[in-house]
Amino acid sequence: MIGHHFEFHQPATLDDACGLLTRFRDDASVLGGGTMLVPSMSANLAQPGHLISLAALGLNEIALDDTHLHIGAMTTYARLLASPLVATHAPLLAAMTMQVTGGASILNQGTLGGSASFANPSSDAPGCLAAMEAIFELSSSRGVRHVAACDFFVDAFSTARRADEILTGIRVPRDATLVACEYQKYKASASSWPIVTVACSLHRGEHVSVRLAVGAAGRRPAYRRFVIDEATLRAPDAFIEQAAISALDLVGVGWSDELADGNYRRAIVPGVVKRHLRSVLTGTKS
Amino acid sequence: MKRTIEVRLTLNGEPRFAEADPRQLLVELIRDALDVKGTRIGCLTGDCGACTVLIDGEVRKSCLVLAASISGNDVRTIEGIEGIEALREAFIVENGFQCGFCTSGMIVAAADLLKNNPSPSRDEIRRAISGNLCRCTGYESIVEAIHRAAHGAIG
Repeated sequence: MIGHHFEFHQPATLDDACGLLTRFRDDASVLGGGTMLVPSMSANLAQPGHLISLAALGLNEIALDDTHLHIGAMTTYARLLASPLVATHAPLLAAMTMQVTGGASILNQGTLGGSASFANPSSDAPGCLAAMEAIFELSSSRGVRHVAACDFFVDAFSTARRADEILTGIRVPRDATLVACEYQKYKASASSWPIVTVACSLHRGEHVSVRLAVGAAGRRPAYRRFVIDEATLRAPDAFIEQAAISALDLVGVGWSDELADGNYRRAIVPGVVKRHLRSVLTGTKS
Repeated sequence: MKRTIEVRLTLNGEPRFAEADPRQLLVELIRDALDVKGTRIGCLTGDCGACTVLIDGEVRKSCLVLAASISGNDVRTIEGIEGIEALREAFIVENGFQCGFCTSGMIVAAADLLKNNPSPSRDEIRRAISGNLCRCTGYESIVEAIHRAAHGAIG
């Protein structure tokens, strides 16, 4: 039994949910899949006076339009894995979801929106969503606003979501320029939270560009887009070295928790960034 | 403040009703209010999988679900999972348990695997039970038991 008393709300409409959040603000927590918030409440680490469950709102559709892939905030990892739209239009997200730990029960219950909102540095979603330049749809009684990933992840366990807002969806821009991408997490054991994650992709459009996001190493995902030329693509060694240095600069102070301290995480970054950039740029594994 | 919430569910095929405290977890509702004791409480952090049940046919950890969020759902525990005779036999033959605390969760997860993939490899078995911890570390015999249930004694 959870230790403290709270009131449980399961509103039937988004308007009702926003109304409750406007009323209770910081005294309310929004319940997504529950895989983090419920155990935090069981352990008395989170003690909201009001719990607002999104379970009755749907918010679990995956849909494609001309410009974006739309993912409802309550979409579980299992639904992402089963979605041909995700596999085709967000291969980096598909690769990340394949590596989510915790077994079938967590895949069936954990949500992408919940993970993004929780913004635990040692998790998969922030780095992956940063690399895809995802856009976060925040709804409140005042309306809807959209926040880019680079602005959404503010700090460890902190996002740009305001106290009266609910994350209702995530948009992934459609990208016909994508040539190759990789996501890999590095972790201490099979079921561990990530110590460092690398998400990178190669794009060939008007320019050749490389996107790189390093997660779990710092307090928020470190993301940068590099524009390169064809000559660099043919002989990428110098670029790869510079990108690894740049990634470490962007990581900044390393994130420390019970799994690994910040210096350890920072020490891992250059090697794994170089490994995956080389793989994406040259098509060769090392 | 309203102190209890009416919860209706189908538990192992039977309609049930309970007054739930908002603070109550589904596993506590099942064990304490509805007196069905096969589901275990291990960690309450979602790590160990001892509380694994099926909700609407999907494998879930019942310590991560508030009882109050259940609304007419179909919940199945180890007592109500159908077609587990082969798994039960194989766990006995392979000695797939030591203390037995993880067994009900392991078998619910294994039954879910075999329903979706009747002929899993050992790697697929390991992935399927990766949300279930055995505190005796008896994983080899658990994997062999699930493999035997799927493939028979050979292989």
